[in-house]
Amino acid sequence: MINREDIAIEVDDLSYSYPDGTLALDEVNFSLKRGESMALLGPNGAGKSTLLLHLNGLLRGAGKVRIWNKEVSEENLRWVRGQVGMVFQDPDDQLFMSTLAEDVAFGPANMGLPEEQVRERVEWALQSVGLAGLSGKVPHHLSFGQRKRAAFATVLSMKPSIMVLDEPTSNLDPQSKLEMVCLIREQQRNGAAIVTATHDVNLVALLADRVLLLDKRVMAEGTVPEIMSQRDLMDDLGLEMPIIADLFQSMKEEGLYSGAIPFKRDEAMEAIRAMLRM
Amino acid sequence: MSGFDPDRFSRLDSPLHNWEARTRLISLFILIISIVIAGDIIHALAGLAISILLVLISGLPLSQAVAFMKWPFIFLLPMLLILPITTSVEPYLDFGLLKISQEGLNLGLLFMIRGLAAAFSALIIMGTAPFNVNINSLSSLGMPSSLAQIFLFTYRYVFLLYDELQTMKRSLDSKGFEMRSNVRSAGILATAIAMLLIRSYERSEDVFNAMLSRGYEGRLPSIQRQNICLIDLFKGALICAAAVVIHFI
Ligand SMILES: Nc1ncnc2c1ncn2[C@@H]1O[C@H](COP(=O)(O)OP(=O)(O)OP(=O)(O)O)[C@@H](O)[C@H]1O
Ligand SMILES: [Mg+2]
Repeated sequence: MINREDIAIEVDDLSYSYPDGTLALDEVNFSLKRGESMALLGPNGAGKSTLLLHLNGLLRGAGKVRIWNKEVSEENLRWVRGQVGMVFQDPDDQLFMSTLAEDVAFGPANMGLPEEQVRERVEWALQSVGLAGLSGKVPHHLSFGQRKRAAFATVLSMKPSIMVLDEPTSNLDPQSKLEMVCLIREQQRNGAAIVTATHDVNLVALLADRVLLLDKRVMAEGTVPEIMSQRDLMDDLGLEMPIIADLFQSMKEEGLYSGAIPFKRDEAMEAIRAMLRM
Repeated sequence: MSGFDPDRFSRLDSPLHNWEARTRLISLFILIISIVIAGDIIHALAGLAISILLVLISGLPLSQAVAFMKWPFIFLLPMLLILPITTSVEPYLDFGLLKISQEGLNLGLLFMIRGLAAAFSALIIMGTAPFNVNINSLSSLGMPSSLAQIFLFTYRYVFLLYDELQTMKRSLDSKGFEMRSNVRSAGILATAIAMLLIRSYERSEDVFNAMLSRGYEGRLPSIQRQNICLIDLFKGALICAAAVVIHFI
C-alpha cells in the first residue's frame, strides 16, 4: 500500500493541444514518489517540454496534475511554484537579471524570505553548482556550460521539493555532464523528487532509477533495466540503447552472455570479470 | 556569449567608480542642472572644464568619450548655425555677404557648450556603474518600481535582440546571402526582420514563463543597498560646490 503523502507528482489523463492544433500530449498518466528520480525519454517533438510545463502550472491541459496530492489550480499556483522548481532547456530563458547573484536571489526573494536567508541561499546554491566566485558576473557573459549551471542554481536556491529539468546535460562537455548528474543525484539524496527530460540514453542509468517513455502518449514505464533493455521498443521510437547495455544485449542474443544486462561501467566490468573467470 | 558590452567601463576603478551610487547620482544630477542653467559662455565653459576633469578622473578613455560627443554635437550644430543668422539683435558682425548677429552667435555657442558639458557629465553617470546599479539607485530614490522594471527588462532584451540579430546575420552570411539593391534582397531582408521580431516575442514569452515559475508576481525583489559613508558625502559636497562655483566665475 502506497502512502499517499509520499506521492510528489500525479498526472491523470493529461491531454494538451497547442493553439495551432498540434496535439502534444495524449492522455498521459504517471506518478512519482518522494526521493525518486525519473527520466523522461522520447524523440524530438514527443511532448517532453510540454509535459514539464504542466508540472508547475505554466500550461494547463485537459486532465489533472496533482502536486503533493493537491490539484494544480489558479488558486494554488504560488504554492505549486514554490514546490516545483523548473530548469528550462535554454538557460538564456532563465537568466534575466543583471548579475548572477541577483538572478539566483530572484526565486527565494519572491518566496518572501528575509534578506539574510536569501543571501545564504544564494551563496549555498552558487557553491553547489561550482560558480561561487562568479556571483557578481553578468549572466550573459558566462560560457554556455556555466550558464547551464547558473540556471540550475536559480532553481536550487528555492530548495524545491520537486525538481523538473529539461535536458540539463544537452550541449555540455563530458566532464560537465557528469557534474550535472552528480548535482541531480545529490538533490535526490536530499529528498527531492526529480523528473529529467533527456536524449542522453547513456546518462539515464546514472541520473535516474525509473524511465517514462513518451511519444505524445506514455509508450512504456518502469525501472531503467526494464525499459532500456528492450531494443525493439527503443528502436521504434528512434532512440538508442545505452552503449553498454546494447553490447551485452547483443552478446546475450548470440548466446555469449546470460546474466542481467548491465547499464553502468562498474556493473559491466563486474560482468566481464565473471565471464573471464568461467 | 554576447560580445556586446555597454557596461564595460563600469568595471574600471576610480574615485568615481567606488562612490556610492545614490550620492553619486544626486550630485551629478545637481551638476548637470547647474550646467544647463548657466547663463553665459564663461560659466558654461567652467562647467565643461569640470565635466572633462571628471572624465579624466574616472579613467574613461578620453578618445571614446570624445567620440561619443559627436552625437550631442550633431544634435546641437543646427542651433549654432541657425541662431546667428536668424537673431535680429545688434551689433552685427559684417562678413560682406553674410551678416551675423553677435548675440545669436553667443547664444548658439552657449547652447553648444552647455550641451556638451551636460553630455560629458551624463556619460560619467553611465560609465561609472553598471546600468542596473543606476536604475536600482533611481528606484530607491523614488522612481516607480514598474518604470525601473521596464528599464531593466528593456536592457536585458537589448542583449537578446542583439544575439538574435547576430545569429540571423551569421545564418544569412553562411547561406551566401549578399545584400543587393533588388527586390529579392529586400524580400529576404524583410522576412529576416519579421522572423527576428517573432523570435524575440517568443523568447520574451519563454523568459516570462521562467520568471513565473520562480514565483514572479509583478515585483522585483529589493536589492540590498550599499551604505553611504562619510567619504561619499564628501565627494558629493565637492561636486555640489563645483556646481555652485561655476556661476560665480
Ligand atoms: N508554442 C508552440 N506552438 C505550437 N506547437 C508547439 C509549440 N511548442 C511545441 N509545439 C509542438 O508540440 C509538440 C511537442 O513539443 P515539445 O517541445 O514538447 O517536444 P519535446 O519532446 O520537448 O522535443 P525536443 O526533444 O525537441 O525538445 C511538437 O510537435 C511541437 O512542434
Ligand atoms: Mg524539449
